[in-house]
Amino acid sequence: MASTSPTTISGHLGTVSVTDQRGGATTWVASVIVTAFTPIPAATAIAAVNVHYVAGTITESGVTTVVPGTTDLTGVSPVVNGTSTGISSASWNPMISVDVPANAPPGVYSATITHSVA
Amino acid sequence: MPLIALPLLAGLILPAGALAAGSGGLGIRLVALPGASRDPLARSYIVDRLSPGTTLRRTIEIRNGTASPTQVAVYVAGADLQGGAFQFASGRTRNELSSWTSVSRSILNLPAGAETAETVSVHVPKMASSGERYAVVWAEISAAAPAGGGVTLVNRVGVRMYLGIGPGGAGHASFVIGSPTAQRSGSGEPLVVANVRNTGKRTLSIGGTLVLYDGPGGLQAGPIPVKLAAPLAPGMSAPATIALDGTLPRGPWRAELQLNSGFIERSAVSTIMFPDVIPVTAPGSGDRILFVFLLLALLAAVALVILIVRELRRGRGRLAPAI
Repeated sequence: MASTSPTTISGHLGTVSVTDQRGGATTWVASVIVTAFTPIPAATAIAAVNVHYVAGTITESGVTTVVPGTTDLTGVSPVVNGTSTGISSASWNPMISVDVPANAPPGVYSATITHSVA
Repeated sequence: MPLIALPLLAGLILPAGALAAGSGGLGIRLVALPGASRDPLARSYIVDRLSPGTTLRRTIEIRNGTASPTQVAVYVAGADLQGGAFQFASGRTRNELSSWTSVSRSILNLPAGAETAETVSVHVPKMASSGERYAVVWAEISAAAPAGGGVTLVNRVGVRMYLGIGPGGAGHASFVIGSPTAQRSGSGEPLVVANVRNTGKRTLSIGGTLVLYDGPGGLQAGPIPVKLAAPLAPGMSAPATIALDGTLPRGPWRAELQLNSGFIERSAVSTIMFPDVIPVTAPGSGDRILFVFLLLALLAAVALVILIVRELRRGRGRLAPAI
């Protein structure tokens, strides 16, 4: 992660699945929050405002999903809303992209991404 | 039946997504009460109306659907309804309802495929004011942080809580703050002043912080602790006054005042510029100036007299030969 001009790094996070076995008419919200990307050795972190989440294609069964428009992950941001009519499931493989500012110091960057479903 | 979220514990190593497959996930469900309510919301979530001073107990089940023994953290965190949408607070952020709610065990060590019951207890304080409160009981698993950096994935599934608190407790608590303004004290200190009004039904002790940012040359100041001088009674107003260092540049600054009383938080932001420092005049110095002026006038007069006398003498000397 060392460059003199801003770059964007992205990758798939891995499949996220929500299975709703409560039955009947139910709803759920999947939200995401991310911490800043902090480098080792310690230097200026890449703030969460530079991290973006795109749910991509959602495979649905018995559920209707809506993806609200989210720009960054600084707060707990809803990424997929599900409305289920019975036992249902939804899965997606989100794309995470990080806008790396120009002159970000080289190093290994760490962050925590939390998915919340309720 | 459980609501199961299966965000697979995949490690993301930027820039390429290194994925790991997994099976199963973490599940949570509310155990329905016998003769459960016909309200569909109450079958999935903890929904009830309680009076101040009462207690509610509910059972939830948490299942480790993963293929390996897993440690599950169980906790209650705040939530809110914003524009009709249920909004989770980040991490373990507390609110009033979450602070009244406890779980029987905060850490569960669950073998693969195991399910366990947990008791959620809500103790509504006698002083609780009426109104709707929201929170979530979360079960959380976390992938171990990757060695040498990368992305740690945390997954949590929850049961929402919608609790209405009935009358009988203390009055509703609320307050508003006006825009921060810049002033100067009689002795020239820069002051930030904002009016605070108690719009609720109970006396509040209010405090918080002031931050000045976007100042000249990108300067920042604070956070500076703020405390209202005295508890504020319902319907009353009082200024929050923050005295700052005299060396602080005039501005302009963005002033952000954040005040809270318990879980009630309010903030106000404005652009401010401190008034000019008025030149300070020491008492009696005016007389001194007059004295100096008089002295100078006197000296000038003496010099004039000397000049006239000399001129007269010279004139006499010049006349003498003519006679």
